[in-house]
Amino acid sequence: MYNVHWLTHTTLWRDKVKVTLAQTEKLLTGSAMFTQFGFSMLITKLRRAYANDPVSLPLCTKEINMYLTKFQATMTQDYEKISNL
Amino acid sequence: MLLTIDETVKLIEEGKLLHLAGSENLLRQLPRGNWIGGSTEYFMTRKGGKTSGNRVYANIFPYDTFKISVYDADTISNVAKDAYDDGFTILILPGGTPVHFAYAEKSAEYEDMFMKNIVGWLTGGKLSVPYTPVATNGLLAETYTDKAVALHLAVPEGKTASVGIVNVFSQDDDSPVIEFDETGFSAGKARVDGKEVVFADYLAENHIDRSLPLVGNYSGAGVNISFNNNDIVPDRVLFYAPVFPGIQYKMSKKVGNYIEEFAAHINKLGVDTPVFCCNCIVNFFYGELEGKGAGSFCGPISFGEIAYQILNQTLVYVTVT
Repeated sequence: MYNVHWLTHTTLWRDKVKVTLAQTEKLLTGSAMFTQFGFSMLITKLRRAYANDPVSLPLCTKEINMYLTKFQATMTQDYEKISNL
Repeated sequence: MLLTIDETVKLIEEGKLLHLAGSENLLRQLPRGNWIGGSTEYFMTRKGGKTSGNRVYANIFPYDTFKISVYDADTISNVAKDAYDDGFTILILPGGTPVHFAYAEKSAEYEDMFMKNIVGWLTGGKLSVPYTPVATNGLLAETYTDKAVALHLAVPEGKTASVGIVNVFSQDDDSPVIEFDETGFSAGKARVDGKEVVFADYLAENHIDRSLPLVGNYSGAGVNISFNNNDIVPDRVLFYAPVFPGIQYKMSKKVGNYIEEFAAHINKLGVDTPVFCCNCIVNFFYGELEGKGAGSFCGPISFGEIAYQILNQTLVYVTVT
């Protein structure tokens, strides 16, 4: 029972920490500020990339989702901002 | 911890995995082993800031999985790709070299950058005498003036490494927005609140305090760019890290008491003992840190810091939890 609960919780959290193309566009064209240093640096890089090449949106989305999946333990506070986009 | 050369040799001979900092002379005397090193004669210890040419600062890592890599200006772009997925990398760059400049201008674009934890520092030497910045690969006991050395570390399963910074400087709300059209360690022109100016003239006419950094807004993170006031190129303003197009910079607010500000920032972090830390030589002198404590945030005083990209006047640390 405990294991099932844990797996369900993990699955929900992993499902949750994903951004859509629309959220990525808002993220990269807005001025939201973040607290996690690496994520702030990544978003800055992607904002510059997207400004130069709007076709890169799917790649930017993929990179953000990879980051969110990998660093979910430290991303709780920033994810609240992302999920409100 | 700050050690004598004999104590350092003993650790190396015991097979300890080490990150070392000390004078070029000391680094060149150390035997082969599981270590990397960089040159500086300034340190932060638990007893406070310390200047010494006959002591070595050592971090001892309790990790079994590691590798040491050497990079030049053509291969440094592999550093994040080479890093472990779950761990962190300490990169030591000899200051003022092609590999330093290559990393400074392009690191944000490197494959896997930001997906791995990359930290480190630029090496230097004692400021009152001529020096050569070096990085040492302890596996071969080879010391380089033109190559970077990286210690890639994997942390044990279930542990997480995180990179953080302490930056006591922040954008001054009263400063105009300063932007640059080209990447570089120097700038001729800038746009100040959208108006193009000769940047050197702008700084002089507005009596800008060049001991304070420019602070770039990286989506909430403040990244400092220090003015290089030692070298002079006519009609250009020089920096210790590159400025980038697309980043909005402002002048920094003045910092009243560096030690108090620093302590306040550290307390807010709630970090006990980082496994790696370095702090900037400008902070060391600006904050008059000699003999003054930084608690558990100990390590080499550096000539530029690395937290993914090169920073100035910033403390960089890594925690493993």
